[in-house]
Amino acid sequence: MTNHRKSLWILLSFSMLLFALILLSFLLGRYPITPTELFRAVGERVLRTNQSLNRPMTATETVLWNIRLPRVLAACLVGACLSAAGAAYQGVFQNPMASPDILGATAGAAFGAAFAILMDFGQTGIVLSAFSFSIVAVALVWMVGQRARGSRVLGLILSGIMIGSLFSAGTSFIKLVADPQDQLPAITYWLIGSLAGVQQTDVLFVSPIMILGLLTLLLVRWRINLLTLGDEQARALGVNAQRLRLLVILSSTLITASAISISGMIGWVGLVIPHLSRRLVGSNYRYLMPLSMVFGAVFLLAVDNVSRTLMTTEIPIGILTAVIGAPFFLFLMTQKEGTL
Amino acid sequence: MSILVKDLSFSYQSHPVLNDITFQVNTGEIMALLGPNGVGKSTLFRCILGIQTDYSGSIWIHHQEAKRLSAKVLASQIAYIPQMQKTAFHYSVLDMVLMGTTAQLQLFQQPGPLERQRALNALERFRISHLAHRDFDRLSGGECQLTLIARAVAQGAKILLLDEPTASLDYGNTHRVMEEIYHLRREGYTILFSTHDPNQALSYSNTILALHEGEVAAFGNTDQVLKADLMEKLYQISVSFEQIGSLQKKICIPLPRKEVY
Repeated sequence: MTNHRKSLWILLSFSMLLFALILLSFLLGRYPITPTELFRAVGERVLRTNQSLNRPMTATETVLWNIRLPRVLAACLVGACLSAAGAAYQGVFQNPMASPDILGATAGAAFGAAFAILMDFGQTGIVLSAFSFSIVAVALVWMVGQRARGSRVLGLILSGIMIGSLFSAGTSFIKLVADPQDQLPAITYWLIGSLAGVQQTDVLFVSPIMILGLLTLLLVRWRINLLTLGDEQARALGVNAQRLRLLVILSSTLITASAISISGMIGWVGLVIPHLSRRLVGSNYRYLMPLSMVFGAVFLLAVDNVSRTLMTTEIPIGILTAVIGAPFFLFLMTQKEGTL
Repeated sequence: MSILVKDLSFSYQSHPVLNDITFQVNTGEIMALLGPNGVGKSTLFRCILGIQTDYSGSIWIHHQEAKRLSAKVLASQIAYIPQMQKTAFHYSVLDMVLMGTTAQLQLFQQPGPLERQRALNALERFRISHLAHRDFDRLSGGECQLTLIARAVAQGAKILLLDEPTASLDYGNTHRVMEEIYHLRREGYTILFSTHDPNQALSYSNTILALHEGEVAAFGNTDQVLKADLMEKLYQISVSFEQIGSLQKKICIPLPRKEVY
């Protein structure tokens, strides 16, 4: 039971870390909020005392509920989703190098967002368009991959690369024809990835989809282990590999598309957080999947806090994830193995 | 548990692989599947396991047609022990054996204490409990194969298909693994294993099925069917079967090539 206990402890520690970090994130920012103010505001919200219903919101409350809450929520959900999707894709494709963009979800979303910016669809339009094109891209990849001869997994990966590059070409073309005064910078900024523009309505739109996808991945997590052994063994062990893979890919794609559509291209998280989680609890998805989610949330929330407080102008989180994460990962790579 | 294959034919993209295969294995029997590389031994296994389903003819698992059974039901009756290969991720031996219990779980269920106990019992059964927390990928060939056999036992299926179980094992482990397989027969397991070694078939099997160019070259009692002319047909070499008096055993020895001139 030692391994089981150890994994549960790690999971619990990360959950507590996440909770503490969420509280801290409400206090940080250009408009400082003290812990006392935070607890009073939360208390009044929860207890719904009379005076809090009858009076207009104070400045503190506006910052708390309308600005910081959506942002903190977005950071946690996007981090959890990208990381969980990465872990899931790695299992499905039996490949530790897989990340959420392997089936073209990112390329599709980028095209969708660029297209919406070109057409002046507005913020909600960008989110919807990015989400839809992301799904369309993966659906195309799935359909082509099914027709490919030979190995199903290889067929999917190859068609993912091809359709991804088609959408990237489309994005490049849109950049070419976009108005260089305002549209082109907007597209470029979106592609870097940032949580600065996240609005309450966006979060409300994507969070049910995200929670549905995350929940599905959590529920089938044991069976993802069997997929990593290949279709033949999975089938012989009593799992319909084809159907399970469709379910996992569908859930992962939904959460990836939701995440990218509100955050833009935040690379890296989906590849590295599952790796770090694997170092802590091993490859068994029973522990790996929940830890990837919590760890992803912790990581992105921490980085987002840095991105909005480090300098007066905000550094896009897409840049910071790479700047903080990549050297850390390189450091771990060169460490002796057996930290597990 | 018995397995009956009737008039099985299978083509891979209009290229015939198996043609009109018929055989039966009964409870407590061990059947050796002999034949040169590429003759369709693995394809036959894939058909029985339901991985390939577009075959003609029929496969019956204990009076039920295999094609009509779901993956889950089929897995509770047949277990497959593949040839060893690297896994993409590192799993502990215990986790690997636990995966065998998946067929008894519901879609959203995780293995619990009951499944864990079954996995531990299976490890104990093959005296490899001490490996439980070791990395499966770092086991020796013999330990690896025993782990996969333990997984099949934890699966609860009574028919075992082994794809060249000793293909990459050293001399000692080959013997040890085959002995373990042989003992399972007495516990009511029905066993099919593929091999290239006629001596393994002689030592450990009741019946053999020899495949040649996708067809049945011979099927029957090992002692009666496994003869020099069959070996010559399968592998194009001359062999001699010798009786070892002191051990009451027959062995097969390849002969030097006859000079043409």
